[in-house]
Amino acid sequence: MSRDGTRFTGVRRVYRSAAGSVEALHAADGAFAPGAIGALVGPSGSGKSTLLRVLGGIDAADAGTVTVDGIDVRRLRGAALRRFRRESVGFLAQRAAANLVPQLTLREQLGPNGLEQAGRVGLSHRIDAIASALSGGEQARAALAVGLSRGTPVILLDEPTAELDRHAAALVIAELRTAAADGRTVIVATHDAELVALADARLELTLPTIAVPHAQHVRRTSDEPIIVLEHVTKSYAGAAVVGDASLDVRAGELAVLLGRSGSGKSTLLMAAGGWLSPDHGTVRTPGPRWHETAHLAQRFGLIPELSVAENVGLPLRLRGSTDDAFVAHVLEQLGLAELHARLPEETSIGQQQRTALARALADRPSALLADEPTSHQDTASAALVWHALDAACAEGTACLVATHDEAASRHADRVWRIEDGHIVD
Amino acid sequence: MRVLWVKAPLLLRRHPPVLAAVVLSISLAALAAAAVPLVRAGVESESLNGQLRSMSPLAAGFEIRVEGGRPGGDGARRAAAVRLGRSVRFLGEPVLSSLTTGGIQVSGSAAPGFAVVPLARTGAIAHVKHVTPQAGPGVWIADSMAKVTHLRPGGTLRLTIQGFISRPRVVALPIAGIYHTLEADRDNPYWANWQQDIRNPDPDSSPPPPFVLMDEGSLQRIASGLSPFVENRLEFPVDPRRLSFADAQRLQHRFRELRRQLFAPDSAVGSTLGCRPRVCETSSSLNAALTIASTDVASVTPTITLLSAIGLVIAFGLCVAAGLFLVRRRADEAHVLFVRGEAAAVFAARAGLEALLPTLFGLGAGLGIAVLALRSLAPAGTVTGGIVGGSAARAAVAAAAGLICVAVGAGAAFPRRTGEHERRRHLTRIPWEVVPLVIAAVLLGLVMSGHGVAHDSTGASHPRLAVFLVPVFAVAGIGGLAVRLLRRGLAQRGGNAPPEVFFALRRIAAARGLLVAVIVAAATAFGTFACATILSSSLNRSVAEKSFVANGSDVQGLVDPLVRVNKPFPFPVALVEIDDSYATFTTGERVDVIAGDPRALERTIRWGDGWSDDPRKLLPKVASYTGAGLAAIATPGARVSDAIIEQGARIPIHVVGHAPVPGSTAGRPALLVSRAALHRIARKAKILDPAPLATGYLWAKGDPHTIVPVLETSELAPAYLTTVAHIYDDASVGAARRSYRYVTVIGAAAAVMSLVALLLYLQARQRSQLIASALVARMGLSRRRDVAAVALEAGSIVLLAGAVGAAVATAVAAPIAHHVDALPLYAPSPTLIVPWTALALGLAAAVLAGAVFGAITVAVASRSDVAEALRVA
Repeated sequence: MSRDGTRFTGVRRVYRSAAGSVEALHAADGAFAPGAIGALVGPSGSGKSTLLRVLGGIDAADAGTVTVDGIDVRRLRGAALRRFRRESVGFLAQRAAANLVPQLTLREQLGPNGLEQAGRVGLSHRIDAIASALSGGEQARAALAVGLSRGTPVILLDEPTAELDRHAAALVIAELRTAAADGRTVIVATHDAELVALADARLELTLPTIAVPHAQHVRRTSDEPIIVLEHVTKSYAGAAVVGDASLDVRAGELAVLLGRSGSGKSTLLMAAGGWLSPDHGTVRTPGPRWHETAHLAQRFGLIPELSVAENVGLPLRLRGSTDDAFVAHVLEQLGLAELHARLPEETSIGQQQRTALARALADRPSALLADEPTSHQDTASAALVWHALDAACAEGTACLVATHDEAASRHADRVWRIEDGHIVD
Repeated sequence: MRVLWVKAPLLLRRHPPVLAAVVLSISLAALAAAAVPLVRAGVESESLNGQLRSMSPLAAGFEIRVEGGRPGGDGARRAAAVRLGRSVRFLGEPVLSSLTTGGIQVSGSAAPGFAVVPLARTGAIAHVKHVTPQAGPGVWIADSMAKVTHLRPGGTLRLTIQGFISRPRVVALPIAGIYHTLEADRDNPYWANWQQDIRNPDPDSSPPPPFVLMDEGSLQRIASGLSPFVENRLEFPVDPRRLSFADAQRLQHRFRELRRQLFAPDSAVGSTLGCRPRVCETSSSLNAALTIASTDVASVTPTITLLSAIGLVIAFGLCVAAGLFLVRRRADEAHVLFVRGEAAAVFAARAGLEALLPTLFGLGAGLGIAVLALRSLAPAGTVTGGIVGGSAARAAVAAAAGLICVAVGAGAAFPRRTGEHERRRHLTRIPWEVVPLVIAAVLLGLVMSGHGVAHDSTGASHPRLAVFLVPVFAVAGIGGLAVRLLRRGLAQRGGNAPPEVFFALRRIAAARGLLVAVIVAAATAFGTFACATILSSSLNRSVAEKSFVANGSDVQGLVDPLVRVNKPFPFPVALVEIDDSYATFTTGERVDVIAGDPRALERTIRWGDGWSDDPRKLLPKVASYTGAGLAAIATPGARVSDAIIEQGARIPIHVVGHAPVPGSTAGRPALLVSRAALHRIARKAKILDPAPLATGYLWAKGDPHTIVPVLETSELAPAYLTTVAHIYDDASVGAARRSYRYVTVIGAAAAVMSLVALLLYLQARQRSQLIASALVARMGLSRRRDVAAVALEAGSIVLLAGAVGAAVATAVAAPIAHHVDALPLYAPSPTLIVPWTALALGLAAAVLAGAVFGAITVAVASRSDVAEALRVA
C-alpha cells in the first residue's frame, strides 16, 4: 500500500483566461502520512480541487514540489506520468458521472475485489446496470467502489459526499475509513464537517478574506401566506413522487423543506415555482415573474456569455430598471465583489451557485425558491448564503429552501420534513 | 480495459450524431476518391458514344475488302461472315457488298461511254432516297446519271466495258427506279464507309462514277458477261448502345486479332471469306474514335483530379472534426480514461476501431453513390468490373486515410495534463491563425512564381489545387484574427443597448472554441465561393477581351494587304495591315505596327460595355491628328519612345493614349496608327508600304453566321476565317472555366453546410441553456426579443464571416487572377473582375438564412420540457 505518503511544498497554480489570471493556489504546503485520511478544507474557490488535480497528475503546478508515494509528480512526463495515474493514484471528481465510463456496466468497471466493494456501498443489485442508467446517488457510490477497487495506494476525492444524503454519505465515509485502515492514503477535498472530523490531518486553504457576517437581520414575518401548496400530488411514470403535500410560507419567513435525496423536495419546489403542474392539489404564489417568484435551481442557469455582475443585474435590466448599488451590495454580501467581471466558467462551482442566488435576490422578489443553496458551499460561504437569505426575508421575501442539510434548520423560521414525497412534520 | 475494446466496434450506435458524422465524412472521402476513375470512364464512354454516333456503326465497325473474288451470293462466304460477326461481341450482322472495279460504262444511250459502278449491297435500295417509285424488277440508277443518259424506269440499261476492240459485249438490265445521287446525301450513315467511292476529295476533279444498284444475280451477269474485276466488301457494324470505352479498347484489340487470323496461312475463315489466295484489306475507324475520346478525357482530367483533391481535403477535415466531436460528446469517458492513465494514442486507436464499421458503411455508401450516379448519368455499359475495382481500391485507401483522420482527431482532443504549456510557453503564445496564414503565404508564393497552372498532355493549361487552397488558408487565418479582434472590441460594448442587442453582442464577444470554428468555417466557405466567383468572372472577361483583341472583331480573315473594299458590305468591315517584322522603337525594342482606317476601325472593333480602356474612344484622336509623324494608340505598359524606326526610316510618334489594341500579341508592344497617315509618311520616307512581310487582315462586325458566307464569296477572298468562338472553345479556357465553376459550387455547398453547422451549434447551445432561457423568460425577456437576439447574433456571425471571406478572397484573388492566365499567348493581360452584386446578394441571402436559422433554434428550444430538465439536474 502507500509507502511514502504525500508531500507538497510551495505549490502554485495560475489559470489564465481572457478575464485575466486567477491564482488558484498560492504556495500551498502540506503532507499526509501513508494510511492517513487527509482533509483539504477551505472556502469555495480556495483551490482544493486544483490541489487534488495537481496531486493526481491531472493538472501541472506552475511552481513548487509535489511528491506522491515517493514519486516527484512535477517531473513526470509521457508514459511515466500515465503509469503514475494508472497505478499510483485514484482520482474521483466532484461530479459522480465524470468518474464512470457511461456505456459500461458497474461490473465491467470494477477492479479486483470490486464486487465486494460494490456490495459494501449497497450496489449489489445494480452490478449489471450500465453507469448511465444509475441514479445520481448510485453513481456517486459506484464511482467510489470503482475508484477503491483499483487498488491504488493513494486515493484523491473531491467532495465525495456533497450531493449525498446522510445515509449514503455514511456509507462513503465508512469505505474511506476502511481504505485508510488498509494502509492507503486518502485525501479528500470537502466541506462535510463529519468527514473533516474523521480526518487524521487537515490542510486549510484560504482565500484572502471572507467576511462572514454574524449579525441576524430582524425579520418582520407577517401572517399573510405568500407561497401556499395544498394537497399537492405528483407522479412520474406512475410512481408517486409527491403525495398530498401541503405547506405555506409567509412574507418575511424563511422556511426549510428538509429531506433526503429523492424524497420529493425538488419536485415540490418545482411545483411551487410553476415549472410543473401537480396531478392534484393547488399552488399559490405571487406570480411567475422573477420579481414575484425567483428561483435558485440545482442547475444554476447562468448565462455563460455574461459576467458575474451582468448575470446578477440581468433581472433588473430585463425589467427596464437599474439598481447598480443594490447589485453591488448583493455581490458584496455573497463574497462575489471581486469576481464581478469574470465569466461564470472562470469561477468555482460554489461561486457560480452564489452568483445564481445573487441573481435571484437582485430584483427583491416577493418569494424565493432555493433548491440546495449550500450544496457546493464550504462552511464560511454557506454562512454567507444563509445571511443573504436572512437579509432577503428581512425585506419581506418569503423564502422556501429545499435541502438535505440538517444544519439548515438552525436558520429556518419553520421546517417541514419530507420523506418519500410526504410531509411528515 | 479490455471490455472497452470488445465493445468498441458497435459503440457508436450509442452516439448517433458521431456515427452520422463519421459515415458522412467517409462517404464523401470515398466518393471523392472514386470519382476520378469513374468520371473518367463516364467521359470516355460519353465521348466515344458521341463519336460512334457521328461516325455511324458501319464506319466504326470492322471492314474487310477482298479484291478479285467472285461477287456475293456465295452461301459459304455469307455464312462465314455471319459467324465471324457473331463471334465478336458488339458486332452486328454484316453488310455484304460486291462491285465491279473497272471500266463498266453505259452503252447505246444519250451518253454512251458514261462510266458507272455496278454495286450489289445488302439493303442498298432501302438506304437511298427514291426519286421515282419502283417500276418492277431491275436496277436503280442515280438521278445524276438519268439526267445525262435520259434513261428512265421501265427502260433498259445496257452496260459494256471499255477496251473491247472487237465486237463489244453488252449486258442489258431493266431499270427499276431512280435514286437521289449519293453525293448529295452526305449524312447518310449507311454509306459512311463509301465516301471516297461517292465523291472525289479534289474539288477540281470530276466526280467518281455513280453506282448502279442491283441484286447479286444482276452483278453476277455483269461479271460473267463483261469479266471485270470484282471487289467484295464485308462491313460489320458496331452496336454503340452498350459500348464502354474499355469495351471499345477490347474491341479494337479483337479487330487486330481478327486481322492476324484472316491473314494466317492456315486460316479457314480467311480462306472462306476470300482473303487467300487473294489480297485482303481490313479497316476500322474505331481507333480514331478512341483517340478523340482519350483527348476529351485528357481535357477534363485535371478538373476532375482537382475536384477530387478538394473533396478529399474537405472529407479528411470533416473526419478530423468527427474525431474531435467524438471526444466532445464523450467528455466524461475521455476524462475517466485520462485520469486512469490511458494514453492518447491508445484512445485514438480505439476510436479508430469504433469508427471501423461506420467507415466500411461510409465506404460502401460513397462508392455506391458514385457508381449509381455514373450508371444513371453515363452511357450504359460504362461501369465495368475493372473500373469499379479500380475505384473501389482508391475509395478504400481514402476511407482508410479518413479513418486515420478520425483517430487523429480523437487523439488530439483527448485530455492532457493542463498547465503543461508552462514548459512550451513560446509555442502556446503563437496564435493558431499563424499556421494557415503561413501556408497561404507559401502557396501564394508558388502561384505568383508561375506554379499556379499546369499543362496536360494536350497542351491545355488548368489551375492547380494551390490556386484554390490559397483563399481557404488565408480566410481561415484572417477569419480567426477577425474573431479575436471582434471579441476585444465588443467585450464591454452594448451596456445600455436593448436586451436583444445586448445578448447578441455579449454572445459574439464570448465566442470560443466551437463557435469560432463555425465562424472560421463559414468565412472559409464564403471566401472559397467568392474567390472562385471572382476568378470565374475575371476569366470570362479576360477571355472575352482576348477574343476580340486577337480576332479584331466578330470575324477575322487573312487578306492580301493591298486589297481595298470597293463594294460596301452590309456590315462594318475594316482592313488592317500588321507589320511585326521591321518596326522598332528607338531603343531597339521590337514593336508591332497595326495600321487601319480609324473610322472603319471605330465602327468595326467590338468592345464590351463596362470594359476598361476602350480603344474606340481614342480612334478619333488618331483620325484627327494633323501634327508631325504618326498618331498612335499604344498597348498598355508599352515603353513608348518619341519615334519608331521602320525599314530604317525614323518616324516620329505621338501617342494619343494607351489601350488594348486589336491584333496585338501578348508580351509585345504594339501601336495602332492610321493607315492613310502611314502611307503618306512611307511615301515621303521612301519606304515600302505595306512593309515587306506585312500581313493583311479583314475584321468584320456582326453575326458570324451571316457574315462568313458573304465574305467567303466576296472579292476580298479572305482565307482562314475565324470567329471569337475559336478562342472561347480553347481547351485551356474550358478547363479553367470548369474548375472555377465546380469550386464555386463546392464553396456554395460548404457555405450551406457551415450555415447548417451554425444551426446545429445554436440548437445545441439553446438546449444546453434551456434552464437559463426559461429563467430569463421569467425575468422578462419576451419570446420576440429572445428570437430577435439569437437571430441578430446568427445574422451578425454570418455577416462577419461572409464579409471577412469576401474581403480576403478579393485580396487574394487579385494577384492570383494575373498568374493563372488561361490564354497567356493572347493580349491583354487578365483583368480582375469582382462581381460585387452577386457577392452582396449571396451574402445577404446567407445572412438572412443565418437569422432565420437562429430564430428556428429558439422556436424549437421553446418546446422543450423545462421541468424535466430541472428534475434530472
